[in-house]
Amino acid sequence: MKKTYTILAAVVILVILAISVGFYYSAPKPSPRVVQTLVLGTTLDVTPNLDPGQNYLTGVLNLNNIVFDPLYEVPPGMFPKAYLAPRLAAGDPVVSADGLHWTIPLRQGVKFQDGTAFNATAVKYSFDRLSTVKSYGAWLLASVNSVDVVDTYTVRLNLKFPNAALKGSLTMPVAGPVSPSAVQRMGLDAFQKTPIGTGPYKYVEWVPGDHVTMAPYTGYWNQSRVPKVILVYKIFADSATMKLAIQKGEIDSAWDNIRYSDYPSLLSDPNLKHVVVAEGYYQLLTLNMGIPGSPLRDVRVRQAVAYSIDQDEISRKVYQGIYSAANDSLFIEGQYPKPSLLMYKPTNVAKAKQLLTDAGYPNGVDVTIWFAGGAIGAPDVEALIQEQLARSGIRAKLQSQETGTWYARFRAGEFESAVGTMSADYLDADSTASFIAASTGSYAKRVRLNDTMIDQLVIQGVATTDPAQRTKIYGDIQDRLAALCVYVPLIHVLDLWFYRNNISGVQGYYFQYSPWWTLDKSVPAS
Amino acid sequence: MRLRTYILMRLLLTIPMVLILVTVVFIIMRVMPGDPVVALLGSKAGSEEQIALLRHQLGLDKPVYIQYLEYMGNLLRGDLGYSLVRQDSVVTELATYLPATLELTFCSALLAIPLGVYSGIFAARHAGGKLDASIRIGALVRWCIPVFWFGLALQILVVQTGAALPISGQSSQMEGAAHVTGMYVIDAILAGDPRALADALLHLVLPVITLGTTMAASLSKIARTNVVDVLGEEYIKVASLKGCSEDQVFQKHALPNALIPILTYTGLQVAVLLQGAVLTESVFSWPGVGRLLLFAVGYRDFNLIQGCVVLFALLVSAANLIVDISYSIVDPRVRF
Repeated sequence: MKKTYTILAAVVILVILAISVGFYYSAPKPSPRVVQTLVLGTTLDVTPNLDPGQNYLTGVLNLNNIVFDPLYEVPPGMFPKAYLAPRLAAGDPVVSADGLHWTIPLRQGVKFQDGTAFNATAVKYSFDRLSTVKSYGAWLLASVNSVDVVDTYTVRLNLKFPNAALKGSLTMPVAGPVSPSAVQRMGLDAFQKTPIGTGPYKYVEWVPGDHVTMAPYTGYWNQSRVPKVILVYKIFADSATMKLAIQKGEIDSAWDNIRYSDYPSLLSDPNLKHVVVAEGYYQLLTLNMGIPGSPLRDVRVRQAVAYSIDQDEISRKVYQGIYSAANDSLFIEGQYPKPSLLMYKPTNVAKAKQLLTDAGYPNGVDVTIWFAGGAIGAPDVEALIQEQLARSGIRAKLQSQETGTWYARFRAGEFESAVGTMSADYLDADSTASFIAASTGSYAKRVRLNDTMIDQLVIQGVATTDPAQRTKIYGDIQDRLAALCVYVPLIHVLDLWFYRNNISGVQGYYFQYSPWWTLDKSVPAS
Repeated sequence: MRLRTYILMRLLLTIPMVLILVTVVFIIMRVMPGDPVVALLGSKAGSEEQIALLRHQLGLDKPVYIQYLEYMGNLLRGDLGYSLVRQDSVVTELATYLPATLELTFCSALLAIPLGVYSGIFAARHAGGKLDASIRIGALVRWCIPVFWFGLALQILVVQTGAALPISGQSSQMEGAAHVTGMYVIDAILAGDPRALADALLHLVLPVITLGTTMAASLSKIARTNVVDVLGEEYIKVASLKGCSEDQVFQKHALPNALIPILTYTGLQVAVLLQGAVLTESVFSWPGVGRLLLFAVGYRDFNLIQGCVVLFALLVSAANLIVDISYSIVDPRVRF
């Protein structure tokens, strides 16, 4: 009897399941909506706090780039060689002669997504609040001492020191004005979950660990940028799954972090297209000048390393030729480019051996190269570097470390040499120069880089807004860095943004300035 | 000892167990290189002043023993601290992500237990035959395959065959779908939404097969071994000689005795299920605590890691307590 009941219960459950599934697949599909939903896959997780003033995670930066308008922007489809265009600003800042006061006109007729008016008071509020909340991005605006409301649509930023790089910082979401009334009405906790800006998209739903849904803000001030689709930012824990999902059609677009080893299969998929996204992201070999007893303390040994590295071989053998060799040492694409590391090209093993002999190492040297096991290209890049250095008599021992351990020990400067990555935080050459070149920079401290000439140049570079002068200054910094040979760039990392054939409006863009408002989706033919 | 007293004792024993576990994890996290501030800022960003400020805000600049005492004090009040990276309280984060893990592990156990136990019993009753060999080999092969590899293989199979099964996530982000409990099957039932129910069930198929078959494989082996052992006992022969049918001998005499060790093993497998959930959630982008733990480890989020460990410890304890109580149902000799 018991057996009969068990079987009966199992049959009933199976029938219910079958009916549900049948209903799911056979129920008439809703007619195509006027506004389609586009699912954008990513591996960049989003945390509960979406407040642009607080959160600095890359995933949140990308979202906030379309929910908030910064004062200036990198126009879509153009790279930093182009002008930083006004977005919420109405024009370029007027900088005082001493560089300490920036007067910025603001765009009129803009409303926040909750209907309140955007004005100078909102800008001042947004800047002032950064000192009252736990902000991981506030350091970008550390040069701003105070903000004055000049009139309804003009603000003045009063700086602690001249900072020509500030305009680059003003393109970041942390500088994107928030709705003061929304913060006060909702309270900070609620505002963090669905913050209110002036951008073309507004937050609708955040399901933890799964997706964020954003809807077009139809009242956006720039009607040519009102989005055409509802955007679902779907979070994947693993890029392999995301790759399968776009091939299957479960998502419309795989935006980032597809492994380079998966590129060939996606590039050959007839259902997919792609654009190149310039990440402004480099892979480099850092040589520590400050380890006692290390042969790398001698500049000739470091130069021997540079003469031994063949970036084209790395690009070809590891990255299938997708990533290009990098030869500039400020690691920010397009900003005062000067490929100073070309002085060590082409690869010259004989020259490298001669330099080692001159440095007192006729039989070669032993060095250690650290790398994070989960980093891009690891361990293939490191193995190839080891092979290339061996041709010159540089015997490299490779040490792989867990990522968190690598960061900690790297920051402590405990490495002799290390393969890592570098990118700019904001769109200005000072973003990297102040970290890697100036002796006060955290990166420079690790490699014990302490060069008076470079320090003076960095100060000059940030103190002047004249483009011609800055070009000369940052060119000189790069020449000096190349001569010291502390940073050996390897490749310039690009991302390929894949999308299905029924998606349009996809534009390549730079860094995290994601112009997703251009995206459109047509219903695929069934 | 009465049942109530037994339960109370077990609950009280859980407290020192959790405290010891958290202490061990606390020490390990502090000994490992790196901290959440460094991990969050990465290799480049952050001035020393900013790092110092963030460390101060998190209390990481205090002596380790002070940090420990403060954490333990808060723990006893149910406060698991603040997650630097998630910028939210750990309790809130765990409460947000736990339902998805419960849904996945419960459904996996729902598949694993009957599949594992029945296949083991079936194999035992046909011991020595081809069916027995097939089941044993199948269970061994499945047990040897790493859970993440199996999950990925299933995903590739679905994509290559064009099967209409979702390969990631807990739902299809359906407009208007209810997210009340975080367990989408229950949410759909409560909302009376058959499409959402079907969507939730379909999203469970691959992860449940991945995780459930892992547990089923080991359960099958244990079940078969125990049933074979019991079938060889003298009292089984006596029962047969007395005239009981084969089914009666098996169901009344063999099975109840074989079930006790199987039950014990099932309780232990809960820990394995949670461990497997970490990997399964990663492969299928399932928004559960396992994925949260991976995120926390990558960012050295001490409080979040410790919170996840506490949660897993409590879940395993609860599961084992339920198993122990269920002994009295299976074995009438067991009384509290």
